[in-house]
Amino acid sequence: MSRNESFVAKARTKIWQEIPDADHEYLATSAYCFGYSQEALLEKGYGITDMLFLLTQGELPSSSQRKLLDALGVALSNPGPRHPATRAAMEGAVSKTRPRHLLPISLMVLGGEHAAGGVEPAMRFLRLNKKKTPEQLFASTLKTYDGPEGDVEFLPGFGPHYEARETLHGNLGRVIKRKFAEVNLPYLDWSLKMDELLRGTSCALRSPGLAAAVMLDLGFHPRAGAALYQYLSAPGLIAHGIEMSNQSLTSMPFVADENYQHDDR
Amino acid sequence: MTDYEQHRGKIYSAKGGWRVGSGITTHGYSLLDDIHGKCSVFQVIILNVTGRLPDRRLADFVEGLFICLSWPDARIWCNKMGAFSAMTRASATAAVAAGGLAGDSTMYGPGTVPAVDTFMKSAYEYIVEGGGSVENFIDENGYRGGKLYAPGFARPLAKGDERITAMRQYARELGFEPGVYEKLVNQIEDHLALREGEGLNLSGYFTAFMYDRGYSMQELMGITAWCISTGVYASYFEQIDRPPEAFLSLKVDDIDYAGPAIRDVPDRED
Repeated sequence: MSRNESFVAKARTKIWQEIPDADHEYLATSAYCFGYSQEALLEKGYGITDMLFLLTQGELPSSSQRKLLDALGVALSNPGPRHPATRAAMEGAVSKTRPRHLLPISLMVLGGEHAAGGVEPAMRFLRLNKKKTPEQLFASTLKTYDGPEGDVEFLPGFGPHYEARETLHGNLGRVIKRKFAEVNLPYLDWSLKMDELLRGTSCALRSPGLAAAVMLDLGFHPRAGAALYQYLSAPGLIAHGIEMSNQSLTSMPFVADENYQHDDR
Repeated sequence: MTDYEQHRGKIYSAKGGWRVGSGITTHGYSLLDDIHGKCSVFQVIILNVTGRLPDRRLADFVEGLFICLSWPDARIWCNKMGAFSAMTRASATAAVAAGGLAGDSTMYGPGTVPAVDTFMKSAYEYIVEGGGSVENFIDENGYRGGKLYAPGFARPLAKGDERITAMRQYARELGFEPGVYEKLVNQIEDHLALREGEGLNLSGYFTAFMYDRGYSMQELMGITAWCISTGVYASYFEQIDRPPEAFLSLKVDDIDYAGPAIRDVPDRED
């Protein structure tokens, strides 16, 4: 039996307005993004970071917001050739997967809970706990944390890598903090403090945690976190995939029989 | 702690593998001697997920679930991915992958299983182990914000689900008897039918059936990972030979713009 739900007749958007061709209702002559002419944005020299901010937040970024988002983009620009998502792009490329599939494949891998899928929970965690001090949460979590085996998170956005403390993302976060010393970045401050407290443990600020903190300081909603993380990490995935796409199959290691041990009985 | 050095340049598999010249084994079976020509692909999927080779009738039952989800109806969201992929002349593989990924949803498809798992296990604890009544369980756990929230029950767009009738019939034909989880969801369904006019959904029925046979939530999500994909093939191949834009074609005015009015673009700050 139908529920007789009332569906809209047309999709609604606040983002994009196309202007129809007077002679053909299916064709557009120009487009506006949140009221701004796409042509005028081009004329005035706006860039991709401006557009990302405008498209996702509805307003153009201030100079400082644009620079901060750019800085996060640099920090996330490449998960690196050891990351499973990048390795997916590279292995696809040498095995002659069509180049157009390399980014979707690697972004699917990057969607996992230990990568992009970890950003939204970290953002929600930071929002929920913003009034608690890092010291309070560090002390209470330490009592119940079972340890780094299996790279179990200490708190959303904080945890081990290879079951040990990796300083890479905290270091990048501290550079961002120094570069934007005059900007109020409460979530990044909180996260870097937690990272400091974690010295001496096997845990640190992780890449999704860094992304979560800066995205919150930029006013992004947690729902946007995973997709933005994927977008900002895409350049490295693209680059590593393209680098390998004209290489031979032998350009990546293939585990020899003697190193493939299976005991399936 | 994990010894990562043991995993550098080496793979240890409990699943199986290929030895050039001597064949392929999977979970102790020779793929070509023991499995090929003797087992169905659904037996192999379940074997590769769980490490256990199920009997043919269980695999046939799982195949029945996939058939129940194989609607060639391009209005269904995952199937639309097939049609959209054809519009851009994406490959069939991309279309099926896109549709399969769309089905990783919390509303339908394998993405519903975790919520069903939580609800079903709390019902099991409350009713089967704790001796509580179905009515009290639903009163205490079955509503959110005044609305029915019972993962595994009710479905989008329609009330009732003719596919469950077909699956129950098929289960009987295959000789399966309802187990404790299936009896539990049947009890809850009887209650919800009277109270809300709602019944079991396919995810709830299938989860209960498989839990009765010892499968875990994670195994279920693996076995059903691609369960909605067959319909995507239909939508893709329906569209692939049609003009690219001839699927739910949109005039410019068919999008309802609700954003700010046209405004001047400010100069860009450095």
